[in-house]
Amino acid sequence: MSALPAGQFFPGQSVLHALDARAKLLGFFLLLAGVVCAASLPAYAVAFAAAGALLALSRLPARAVLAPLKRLWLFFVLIFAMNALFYERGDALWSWWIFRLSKAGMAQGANVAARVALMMVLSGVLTGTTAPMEITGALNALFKPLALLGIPAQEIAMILGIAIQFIPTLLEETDTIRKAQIARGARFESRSLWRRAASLPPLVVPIFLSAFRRADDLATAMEARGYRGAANRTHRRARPLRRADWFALALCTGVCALHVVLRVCVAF
Amino acid sequence: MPFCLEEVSFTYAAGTPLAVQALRGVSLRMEAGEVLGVMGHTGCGKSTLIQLLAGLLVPTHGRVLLDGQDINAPGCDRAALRARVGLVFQYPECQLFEITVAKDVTFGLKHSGLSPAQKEERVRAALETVGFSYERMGAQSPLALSGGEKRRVAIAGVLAARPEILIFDEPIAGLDPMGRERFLALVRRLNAQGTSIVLVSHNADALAQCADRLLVLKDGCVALEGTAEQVFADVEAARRLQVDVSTPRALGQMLTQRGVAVPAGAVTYEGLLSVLKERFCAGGNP
Ligand SMILES: Nc1ncnc2c1ncn2[C@@H]1O[C@H](COP(=O)(O)OP(=O)(O)O)[C@@H](O)[C@H]1O
Ligand SMILES: [Mg+2]
Repeated sequence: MSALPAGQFFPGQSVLHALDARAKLLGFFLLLAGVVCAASLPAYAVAFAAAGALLALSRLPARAVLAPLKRLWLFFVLIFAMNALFYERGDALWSWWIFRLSKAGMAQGANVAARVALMMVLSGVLTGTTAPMEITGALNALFKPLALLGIPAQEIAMILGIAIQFIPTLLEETDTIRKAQIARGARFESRSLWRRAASLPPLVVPIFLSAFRRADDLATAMEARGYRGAANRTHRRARPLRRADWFALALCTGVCALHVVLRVCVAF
Repeated sequence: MPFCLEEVSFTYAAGTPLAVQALRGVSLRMEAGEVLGVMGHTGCGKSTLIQLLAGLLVPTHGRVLLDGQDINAPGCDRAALRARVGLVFQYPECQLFEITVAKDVTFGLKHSGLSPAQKEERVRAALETVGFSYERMGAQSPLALSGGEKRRVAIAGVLAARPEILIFDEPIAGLDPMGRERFLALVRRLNAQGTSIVLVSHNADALAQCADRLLVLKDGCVALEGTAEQVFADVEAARRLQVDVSTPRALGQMLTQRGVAVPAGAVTYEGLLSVLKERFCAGGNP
């Protein structure tokens, strides 16, 4: 396992590392909304410029953040091709059998591929500069208003937090169990889909068993330490947002607004 | 000459900012029929070393040779390698998944090309080697067994392939004294049948009893190598490397400090007792 998993956190001292996780999470959602609005060349220019600037600011190793994109190249080719060849609207440039190549389809394909790529870069920057526990804490804070609607927001945040914390452990465990089964003669390298499916139980059963055991132990440990559900749970006082956080949020809001304006004013 | 490591280095997540160099230029030679003990503080690279031996990791630098052949060379038959080298991971009980013990032990033989009768014979023998009866254990669910029993079933699952070289990663961690004794007896029996064995452990007493040679790692390098007598000779050096010396050796050191000279070579209880007997019972009689 020499490739790092997508979403890996890299400790660092950049401006983005120093921002409050709540500001980063909100800013991320704002930029995401902007990306979803993007549908014209100028809009994509803005979006890619913003993503590039964030990547540079984060001082993350660009290769590591962009690696998941590279690993998914086939996926990008596929979504582009599916859209280009099967899009219903627009004039057909060329058609044969069930395929129908159209300009609108190609535009749509490029749209989808660019949006997915942008979302991946943005989330890579977010998770690369924010420790998992900070993200959980931020989710917890941002979910709080939902409690007014009767949604068990704190519990949801707790569940998400625990899930996020367990991901590295489970990945590590999967790796160990895969190796252990290979060492006693299992073959996971097979290219045939049928054989691959048949080779799942030796991996999946032990991992599920271990996950259940861990969940059980954790529940016991939490109860032993006095956890009785999130109601009336106090928190260490959260730091208020600082100037830099507000500034970052304002910038993200600006970019998002720019996207909305571009969407309204510029046709593709 | 089953195994040779030549200047092997290994780095996890090489080429990323999270790279960790786990081994630095480790060379090692293991003779056929030998029991090699591996010691060292947590994180010194023991588990990495044995995964390199088993061909589960590929060295960043250097070569791993089995019978003079590089096991990571493109032409090398991995399946044959896996059949020759058995690796029992730490907490092997976590890898059980089948409905019955017999099926689980058979799992590793799936691609062996043996007939069903031969497979059953192998499974029966492997279960008996770890002290279970095929008739009584074979049909049970492995998940319903106790921790120690699960571990024995998992070991049987590796033994079924009849490897020439067996590697154990901290096999006695968390076992009760009886489980520990039973495991050490198993190691001696397998070794007497000609199996070469690598034993990673923190338990100096166990290693002093059954290892022909010890290897102490520190921060990914070989810090000490030799027989238990040689490795445990300098108690202070061992402490600096964060490994225990065997209890009899520690006792011998204390006695020496209090004026009863005990040679450094007394690393097992038998050794210590015979030294004391010679000293205190004239003519060696009790
Ligand atoms: N899968 C992995 N990814 C990254 N680093 C690892 C991995 N496994 C082990 N390491 C690191 O490599 C070093 C050696 O680990 P290991 O061989 O497991 O030591 P030991 O078994 O002696 O305790 C440690 O610093 C450990 O943190
Ligand atoms: Mg280890």
